[in-house]
Amino acid sequence: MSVVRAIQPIRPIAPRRHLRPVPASNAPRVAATRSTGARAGAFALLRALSPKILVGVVLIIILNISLSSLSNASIYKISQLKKETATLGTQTQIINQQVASLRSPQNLANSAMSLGMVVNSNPVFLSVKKARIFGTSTPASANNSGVSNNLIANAVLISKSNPSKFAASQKAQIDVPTISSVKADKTATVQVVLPSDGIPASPTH
Amino acid sequence: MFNEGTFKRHRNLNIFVLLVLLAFAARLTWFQVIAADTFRAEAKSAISVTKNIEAVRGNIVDSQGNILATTIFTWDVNIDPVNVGPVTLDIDGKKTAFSKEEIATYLGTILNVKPKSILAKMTGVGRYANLKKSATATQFTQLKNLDIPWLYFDRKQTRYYPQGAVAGNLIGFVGTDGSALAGIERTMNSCLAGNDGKESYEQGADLIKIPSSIRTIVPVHDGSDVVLTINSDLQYAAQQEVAATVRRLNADWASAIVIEVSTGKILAAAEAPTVDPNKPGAVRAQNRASRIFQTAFEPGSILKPVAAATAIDVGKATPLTHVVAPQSLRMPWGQYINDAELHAPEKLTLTGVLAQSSNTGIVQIGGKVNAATRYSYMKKFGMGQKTGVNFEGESSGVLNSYKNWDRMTDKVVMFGQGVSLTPIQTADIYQTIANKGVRVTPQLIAGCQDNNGNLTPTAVESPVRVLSESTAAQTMDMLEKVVEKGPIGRTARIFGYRIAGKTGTAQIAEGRGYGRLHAVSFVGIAPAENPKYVVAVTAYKSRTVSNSLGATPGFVAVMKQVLKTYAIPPSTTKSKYLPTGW
Repeated sequence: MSVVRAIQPIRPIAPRRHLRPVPASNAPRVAATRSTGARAGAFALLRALSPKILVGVVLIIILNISLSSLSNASIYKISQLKKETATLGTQTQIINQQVASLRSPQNLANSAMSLGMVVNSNPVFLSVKKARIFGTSTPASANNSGVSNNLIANAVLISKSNPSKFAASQKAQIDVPTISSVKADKTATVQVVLPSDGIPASPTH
Repeated sequence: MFNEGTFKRHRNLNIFVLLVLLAFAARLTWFQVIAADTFRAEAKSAISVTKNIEAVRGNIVDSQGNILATTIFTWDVNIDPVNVGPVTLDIDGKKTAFSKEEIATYLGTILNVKPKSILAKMTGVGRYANLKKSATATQFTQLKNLDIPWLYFDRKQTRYYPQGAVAGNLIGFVGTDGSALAGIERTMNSCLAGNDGKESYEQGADLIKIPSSIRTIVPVHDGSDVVLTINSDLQYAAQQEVAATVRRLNADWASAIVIEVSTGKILAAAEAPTVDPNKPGAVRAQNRASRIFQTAFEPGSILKPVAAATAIDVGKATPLTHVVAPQSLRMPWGQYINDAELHAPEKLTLTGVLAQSSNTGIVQIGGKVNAATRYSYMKKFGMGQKTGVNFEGESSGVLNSYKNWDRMTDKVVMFGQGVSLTPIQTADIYQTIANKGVRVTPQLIAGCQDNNGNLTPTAVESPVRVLSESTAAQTMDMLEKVVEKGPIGRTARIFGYRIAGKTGTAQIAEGRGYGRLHAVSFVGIAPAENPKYVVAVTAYKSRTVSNSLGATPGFVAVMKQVLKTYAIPPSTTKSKYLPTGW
């Protein structure tokens, strides 16, 4: 068997092809020539383009990796910035609450009272338009003033628990920005109201 | 080179590799094509998040834009007891280890909670324990900076009322769950609440949101602002006065209303006692509402100008119509109508009847007008119906049909008995007289203002003419004499200004009769020559002063503040001469 196998070809020998006369027309030959030429052209083109394609693919991969890396970095940056925004928002809230509390009428009344101020219930009006003085000026005194001490409750007055003192006592650092670094929601404007038949008055709070 | 065995092995290997590749291809096709949607959904669900975005509730502001109610964030402070352990904190740049007990003390000091209670929660075995609800931003920041790994926070919206109890009776309040429970908070909830939104996004393993994946499912619309007609400075001043009035009179409660005559805008509606919406639980339930709109009682003599104006308007009387007013007037059916003070029969004009607040006088002159006509005028003045302010739980008062009046009710309604009014209805009557006889619906809510500043004004009813201009002017002249010549009315004078007004001392119904205590009131208009403001002050169940002397000091103080706030110059003319007797 091994001898037989040794002399047998690996592949069966194809039957010998017999030559046949070629038809008068040489069209097939021309076609074959063209086909071979096109294939050769394609190969040449491929050979010419392949380095560029390779470079292009590599560049795309590098670009993709870079963009992905940048994108990932941006995501973390955005996340970090959002956290900072939230922190600043909390600090803004603390400051806004302090301001709201300080400008509340209860706090103003208490502060005025502590400074020894009383309400003058006999105001004098000056009419610039008519160049006249209305009313009789009378010194304000505690006896003839209205209710000066605050009688109206306000549970959110900060004087009860000053946050900065509280924080200091706990040694917990609160990064509260200075007032100058906080942009006000609305710019406070002092305007003078000129009623048609009254006296100019500043709408002070 | 290759023998047959090698060839077969190669072939078999190729076939095997091909089969493996086919198997991979088949599996890949399964993953990528056939079951792709399932796996894609599964993967997406693992990384995608759908989240509700809570709309921020709008503000309530006064007519000057001062914030009376706003939304802030607070934090529920929670711990994970299983993971609780000692903590190393960075204090002043130095790392220091703290035991659980020390941390409990530390947290307790910041949160104002007993450390013992915190320690008990820290030693639990669960995965959740709440240390404090609604911690402030300051407390949150302090705790956050500690960076304790087993401490975590849930942020939530909380209502914040920076001016405390100023206009607390009007603003109302919300519950701990954010639901509107009373006042403007509840009435205007549709304006304030906004609409929650919804968005979906994908997140990484570290829970970082992937920006390009954010998709808005339902856009969030924050709530709009409610703009009130109230001037908060004036409201505060009025509340100070009524609080002082309650103390001085030892009364159950007191109120002061300021209305702009030409527009019907309520500039102040003060009450005492009232509620601080930051802590509604701190006061009794009856002090959390608004009596100005919700409590009706017999107003008493404050209603006499209505009977007088009606008689003038229908041509049955003038300010100079004569009457003899005895202290006690016997009715044909045997019952008596009495004046409050003992006096000999007085020869009064209608002006004098109002100045002396004579029951027997007004019954005689007002009685010249039939009941049906008087009833129709009372209706036109707004009695027995809600004012149109649309305040929640507003009372319409009681005005029974004249057909149901008995013989005595027919008389006593002329001096404010047998009919009940809320303080705002009473003030509204005087607005009508001051506004040349035209009733304008009182207005408390100017409108709903969106986030772009566009105000949708509150719809108001068309003005209604109740009295002729001439009748209104004659009534104003008579009311000036109440302040100039009335024994109590003169205590409502304000130096330099012409004031018109009327006193009222009403008995308070108890059981089948009247009790010992009174509702004392004074309603005034200034300046009388060009009416701009109505101020109505009432003290209910005064225990130290049993007549309007209890109300006039409050009126004077509030009206002075009004004239000062709106810079109204003192009067330069004198009142019309009108005799009060003959």
